[in-house]
Amino acid sequence: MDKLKFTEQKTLNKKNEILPQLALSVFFAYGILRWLADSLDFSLKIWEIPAGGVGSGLIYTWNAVADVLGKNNYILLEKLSGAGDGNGFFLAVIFLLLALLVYCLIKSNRLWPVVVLLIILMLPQAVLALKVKKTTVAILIAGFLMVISYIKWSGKGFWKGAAFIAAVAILTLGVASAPGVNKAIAKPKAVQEINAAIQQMFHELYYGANPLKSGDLTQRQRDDSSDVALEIIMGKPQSMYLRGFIGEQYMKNRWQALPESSHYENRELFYWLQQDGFNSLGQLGQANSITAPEKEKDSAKEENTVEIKVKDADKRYAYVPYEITSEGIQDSKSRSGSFITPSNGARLKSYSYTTTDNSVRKWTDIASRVFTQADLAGISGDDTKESDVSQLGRYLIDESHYNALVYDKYTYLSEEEYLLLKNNIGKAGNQSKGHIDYKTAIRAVRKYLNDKFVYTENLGNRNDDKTTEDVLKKFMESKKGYDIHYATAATMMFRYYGIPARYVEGYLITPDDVKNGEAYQPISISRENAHAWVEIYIDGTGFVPIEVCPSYEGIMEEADMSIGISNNTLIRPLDSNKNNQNNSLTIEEAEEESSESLPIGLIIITLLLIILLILAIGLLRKLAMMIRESIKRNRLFKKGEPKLAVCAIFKYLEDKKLPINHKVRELGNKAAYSPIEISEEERGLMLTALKESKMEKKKDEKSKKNHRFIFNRRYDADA
Amino acid sequence: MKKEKIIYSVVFTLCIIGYFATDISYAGLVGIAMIFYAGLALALVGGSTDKVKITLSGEKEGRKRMEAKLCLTVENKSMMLIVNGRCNLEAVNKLTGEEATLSKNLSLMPKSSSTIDFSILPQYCGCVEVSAYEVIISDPLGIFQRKQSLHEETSCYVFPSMNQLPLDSDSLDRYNMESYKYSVNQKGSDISETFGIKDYMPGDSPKAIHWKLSCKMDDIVVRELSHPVENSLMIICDKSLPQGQQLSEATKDKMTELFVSLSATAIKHEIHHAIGWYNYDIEQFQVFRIDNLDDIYNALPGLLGSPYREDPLSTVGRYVESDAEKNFSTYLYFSESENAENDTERLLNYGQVEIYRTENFE
Repeated sequence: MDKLKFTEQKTLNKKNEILPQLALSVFFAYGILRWLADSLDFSLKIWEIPAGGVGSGLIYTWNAVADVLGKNNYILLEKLSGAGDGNGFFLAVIFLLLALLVYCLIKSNRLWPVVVLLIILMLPQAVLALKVKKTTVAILIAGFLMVISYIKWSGKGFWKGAAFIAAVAILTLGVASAPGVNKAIAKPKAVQEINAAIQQMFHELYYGANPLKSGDLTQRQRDDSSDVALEIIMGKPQSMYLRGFIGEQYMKNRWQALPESSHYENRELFYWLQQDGFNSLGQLGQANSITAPEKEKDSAKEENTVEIKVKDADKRYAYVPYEITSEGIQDSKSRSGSFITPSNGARLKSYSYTTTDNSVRKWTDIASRVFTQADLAGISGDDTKESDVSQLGRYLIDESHYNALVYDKYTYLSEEEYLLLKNNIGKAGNQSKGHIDYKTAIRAVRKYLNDKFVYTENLGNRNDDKTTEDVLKKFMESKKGYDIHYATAATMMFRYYGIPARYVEGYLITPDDVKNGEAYQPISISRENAHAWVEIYIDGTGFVPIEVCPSYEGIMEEADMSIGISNNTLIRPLDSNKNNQNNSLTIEEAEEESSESLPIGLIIITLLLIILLILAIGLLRKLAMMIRESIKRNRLFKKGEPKLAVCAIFKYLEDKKLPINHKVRELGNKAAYSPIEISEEERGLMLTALKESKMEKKKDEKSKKNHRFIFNRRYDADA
Repeated sequence: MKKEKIIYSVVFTLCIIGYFATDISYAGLVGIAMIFYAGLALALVGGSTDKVKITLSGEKEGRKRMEAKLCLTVENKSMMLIVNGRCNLEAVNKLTGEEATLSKNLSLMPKSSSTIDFSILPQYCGCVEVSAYEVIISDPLGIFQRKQSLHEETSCYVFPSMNQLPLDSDSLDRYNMESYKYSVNQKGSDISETFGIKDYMPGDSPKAIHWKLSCKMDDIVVRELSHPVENSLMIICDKSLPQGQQLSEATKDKMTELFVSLSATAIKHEIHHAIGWYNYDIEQFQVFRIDNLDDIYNALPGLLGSPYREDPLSTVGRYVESDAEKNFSTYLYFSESENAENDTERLLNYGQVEIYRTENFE
């Protein structure tokens, strides 16, 4: 049965409904499109609308997305052919579809689909840390809030609500443009440090901890835990250097990899190098295989299977030797042939690869064979005919491309670092025809570090702020440190001498570890075997590790430095007359706004001020309400209808527990309960009585206070 | 509001976490925007509360299953914009106990007013009281709200249908005898019967002087005239509900309709009578003399506005205890109670009683 109900009159004015819906759909759709454009680096210009078609625009867009994801996060997507001149037309179609979608969401009158849409938009951006402009954020969030408000209030007051939200957005953008606020939003150094620390903590929880902290040089003491880091099974147990983290650029207090964009730009080169059989990761082993004498060729190419189970070590990096022959590791990605990380955020817990025999202990021999055989073959690079190229020739042609990249990326020194080294180790020598001779450089670096520095694994308490401390400079001044400091200094020194160098953290499988090892039996490598070293690039041969830490000398088998390794520019057909300081290196541009550090204290003070401001607003509001109530009350007492006024005054006297004499009580009761009208004179009497009551109460309180004081004094006197 | 506040707090916390713990570049910007929004919203909401005036008006009379138009006028007396707000209305049919609620969204510029038209669709007769009991002022997202209590109301009487009941004239005529009774309590103007004697007071009519007694008593005395009890029929509507018993709205509606129709039928047969019921709102037994149809219409507001209530005492008990006239010769008792026969025993001391139920007229 039908019940009592309200019915609302349907408005016939559809225009008032449709206009806000359309405006909102267009605005929010524009915000979404801007968001996508900023995140994926498209341009939105009206005159570009005719560019491309739908299909070609889609392909163009896909390829642009692949580039952005590759450059920002090294997510490799296959690019497609058939992209047009642009994607303006395609984006216009997308805009219309988005507007239609938003319109449907508004008409559905449900909040949750709009929220889901926003989450879908923001989540990938947040996870992948893509950059968006402040204006874009403001437009998107404002549009979203306007849609929410429209649905919540069924369109009532839409324009006012939209104006309010727009005002908040404009105010926020205005304040955010102020220099100090801008720096705070862009995360000052202190916040970045907190950020990095929190992310590091989560990384360590998920991936496991590296005892040497994966390039973080701010530690004051070396981790000396002896838990099992790796469990290794080898077909032929032998000592080897296992490289994990590679430090490619020095950032004052840490080593880090080159930006993803740099690795992404190189991926095509490495694809073709790989197609050609060039193995940048295991280049040393490859060079050995190619140049080995005939009688040793078979043993040089003989592969050794290595299986690694990562126990208490960092699962972010694969630990691979200089002799690896596998093209890669399952479910992982190689960054410019430099290091290997897992795909899809997984952890590298166990993996296997093949490798040849230890070539590190004879790298000098390998290098000289390469130089000699290259000379004999008359190979000098690009002008060699394809048909005349032997395996070595093929290798050297490929190597020349890789060589150029290595010199481009791994010889960079900033002005400050150059001067620091110059002041400490003297001049860089004559590099007009290339870098300093390898042997000379290695000897100089070792001698300097051995003579001037003391190896210690505990540096005591920090005196400087760890966020701003230049670790290299500190090391040079204090003359003490452990392997990470030695490796850092050595890397910078080799670069100073014009030799490409990288900082490496990994594990040593020492001859002692494999002494009693059996084939295919697990060998436990402890966290104590973690080590940091420098690797330098030997032209034609590849990266080789150089031990510069006095306490680690003799632990691993070392190459014979008496065998000639000379600086041979024929191997590098490209111009080698590059000054170290002019080498361009794509270093991630730090936000300039945030280069000045804003102390944590200021952030805390700002937060406190905001809280105080909110409290002050609350208090002021309360005060304003009290004043307003007082004015209202006085108005009623003095100007309101006399009967009401007298009632109100009487009630006030009772509520405030003010003294009430019998005349006042009588008058109050008369006003409240009798039908007799109250005169102005009676109102005046009541007002006077109110005033007198207040004064009497004040007097009473004062006298009570005095009596208490006198009583206490008397009591004290008596006591 | 609580849900919105929780969501707001969670989002703000996520912004702080995002700012310190992740690489999200805009976390700080969103956090600042949220602070500004909160500040401005609080100022806006706080500045306009207690400054909203509501006026509710509408049709006073309505018909069943027909819309009765109502009008809500909202005035913003503050200097602040009311971006969003809501006025909560409630409608109660006092007769049947039905309730309905409505929320109307508002939005007003400073120092402006707006009118909202809507209707109420009653299914049953009764007195439908529509009240606006609160106004909520809010920001666009509904996070910060202030309530202002109101007491604006208007009533609409939904009249029952008045039908002629199929009662035979013989049974009705029983109630139309001339009465040979005179009231023992009430003075009247019938010269044929003396109610009492009193001393002469200046202003009394000389024609009322009882000469015989005056001679005997050596003082002038006058006669008080009697009041003939012509009104011999009373129709009582039982609005009490025994403990644990409920009546449906349809039954209440039908009872009221039949009650009124019976009265109208009696008037059509020129039977003057009275109608009565116990009004639980004013806690008084109400009696109305019905001499014509207009009298019925005049009594309707009281009847329609009087609710049904659970009561350990029946309507008869309430009638007997009340000061209402009890000099009716016949009582027609309209009740759906199963104990009507027991309840009306006391009434038998005053006159004949006949019990009517809705099933009698199906």
